Amino acid sequence: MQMIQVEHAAMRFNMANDRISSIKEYLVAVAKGKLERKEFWALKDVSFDVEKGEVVGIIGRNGAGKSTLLKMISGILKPTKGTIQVNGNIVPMLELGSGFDYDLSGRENVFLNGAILGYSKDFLESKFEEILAFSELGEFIDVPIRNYSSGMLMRLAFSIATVVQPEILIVDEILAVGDENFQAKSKARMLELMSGGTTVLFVSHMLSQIREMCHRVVWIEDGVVKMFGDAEEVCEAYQI
Amino acid sequence: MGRPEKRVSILKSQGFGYMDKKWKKICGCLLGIYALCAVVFCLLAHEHINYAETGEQGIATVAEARTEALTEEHYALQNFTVVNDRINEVSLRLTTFGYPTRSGSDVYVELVVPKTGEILARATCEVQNLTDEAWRSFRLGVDVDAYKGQELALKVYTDAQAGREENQIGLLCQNGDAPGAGTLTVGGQAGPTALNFTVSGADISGGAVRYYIGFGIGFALLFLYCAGQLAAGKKGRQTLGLKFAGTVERYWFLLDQLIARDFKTKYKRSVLGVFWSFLNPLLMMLIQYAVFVNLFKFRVDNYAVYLLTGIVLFNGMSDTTTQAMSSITGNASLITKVYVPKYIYPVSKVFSTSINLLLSMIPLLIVALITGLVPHWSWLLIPYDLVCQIMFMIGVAFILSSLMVFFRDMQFLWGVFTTAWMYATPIMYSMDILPEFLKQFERVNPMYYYITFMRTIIIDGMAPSPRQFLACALFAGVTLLVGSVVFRRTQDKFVLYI
Repeated sequence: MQMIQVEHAAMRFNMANDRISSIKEYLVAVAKGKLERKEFWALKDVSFDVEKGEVVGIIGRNGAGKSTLLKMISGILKPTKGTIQVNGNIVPMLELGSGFDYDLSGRENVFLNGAILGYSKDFLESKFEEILAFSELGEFIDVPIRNYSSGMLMRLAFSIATVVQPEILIVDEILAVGDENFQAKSKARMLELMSGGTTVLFVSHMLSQIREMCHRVVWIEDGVVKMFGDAEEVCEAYQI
Repeated sequence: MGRPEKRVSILKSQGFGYMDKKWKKICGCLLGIYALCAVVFCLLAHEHINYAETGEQGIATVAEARTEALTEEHYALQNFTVVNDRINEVSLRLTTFGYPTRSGSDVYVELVVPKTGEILARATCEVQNLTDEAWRSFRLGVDVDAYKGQELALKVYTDAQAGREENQIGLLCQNGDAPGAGTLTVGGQAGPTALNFTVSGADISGGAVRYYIGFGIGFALLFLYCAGQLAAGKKGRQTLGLKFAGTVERYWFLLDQLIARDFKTKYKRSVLGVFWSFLNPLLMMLIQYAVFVNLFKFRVDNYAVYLLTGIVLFNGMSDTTTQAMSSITGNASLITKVYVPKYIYPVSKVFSTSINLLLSMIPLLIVALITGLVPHWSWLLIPYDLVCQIMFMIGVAFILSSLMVFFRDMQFLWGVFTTAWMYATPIMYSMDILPEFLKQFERVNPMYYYITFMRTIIIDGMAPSPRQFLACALFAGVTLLVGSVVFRRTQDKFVLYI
């Protein structure tokens, strides 16, 4: 059964968007006749599909459109053309801790961030001890997180994000955070998640990881799929 | 396309089957709330839906003569035949004989039964506020019922001292024939034909039955709809209603968390914390009360409550909309990283700021009690007004937050706009000092309706007219609809602009 279907997806950005954000600027631009819409196609035509339980890697050079593709599959961006169909719950691990509020305590943030990631209340309550244990925060959990060190923040964010066994997991580089000890632990957790029968979309620049983990690989270049197929073959071609 | 099997139920389930009981409960609640609202409305608005206002009935309106100056002993007694089921207001034309009035004596108007002398109602006004020869209306305060077709008398007198001409008050009269008017005596002697006066009242319309039927049909439709949805759910079909309920179910926890966050962080680092929600409107009211009572001398019944109602509701609106406006741009870091339906952000912001609005109702009611208002059944309607206003604010928040994404100037424009709006709304002054074009503006000013509604139920202690109920709901519904359409149309572009 197909979990993700991407059909001729394309994404266009207007380059002028960034510059005009007020009426004055808009009017000035119109007056100067500079209101040209410079288009930029981050993705031109991408089609592939992911079967249930499959681990699919995405490779490509910087700026090839990998992150745009992940955002489109997560539902954050809507494709300008084409369709993307996703059958199941997605947990995107694009950036950790993006929903944190620094005035709230760690405990409150577990629930807030969990809610943003789409977890239910009952689930969070039942898993709270596990999150706390994994993050190694101990009594600091009731301290406002603006007092946390960056390592503590990352540990908490990682623990919340990886407590689930989602149907579809989207990973932008394997996240290894904290000190050496925690890095090893977090990497093990990621590998455990990815090998646990979950459908995984996995972006990485480390070909060794891709070869090791993925069944199939999508190679994106200049917004189009350059190659899609068996992991070994694609990696081989990519390296040349 | 079938749903994938669940291995672990980590995320909110969208399945229907085993939640059947829950949906039944929700439908039951919905029907219960509807029934409760309908019954409360029929009970509280009983007066309005049973009686139809007839407006003024002019009995004698041509000004041709004046009575002599009136005193307590030298009073005018005008007999007339009642044509309405109910009388609640009379108007007269008072004259000061061309002198400006200085000291404050009062004019009294009584409605009496001529045969027995029983006083049915009494109203007063201060001479200081008089304009010479202008119509002056006297609200009777009580409804005088069941005198239709019988003769009643209007007794008018003042507490002015005889002989002091600057305080003298007389009434304008008509010499010609005045149908419906009985005899007029001034100081016990027959005078001209009739005083210039009109009577306002209401007739029993029997319109209540229409409301009962309407609510009944509504209930039946709602019941059928719920039953239909439940049946559809059992068969596993997706309908609009089920989808909506599913989304609400799914994101309820998130909404709850976002509201809690906003509310917790708002006062997190202030000493008095949540107490500011009470203190802020109270202090604002004190300042404005001092300014407007002493400097501008507005004369409105129970001015403290009149003012505070306006302040609480309007500030609630301007705070909420201002904050909700930046709910999309302010959550940019989230929107670009996690997929959550974007309407959650403005909606949660409106709710979290509305908690403040709800809290500031408490000092309002306390002030109402202190100034001598007695809790009345009509106070039960307070939630109706608030719910309508919150819906209205969500609609505005949708429009503003999506505009804000494309034009950041909105935040400054909106600040100016709300200030203008505030002064154009009768918050600190009364409606009758407004020039004509602003009076026209109030007809389309939603805040005017919400504030007037609240004042009617708190100060006057009575249910507003069905028209006002409808106006409040309509403004809320239409704004919410327009807001949702604007938001839906633009939401896919947000992420490209923030």
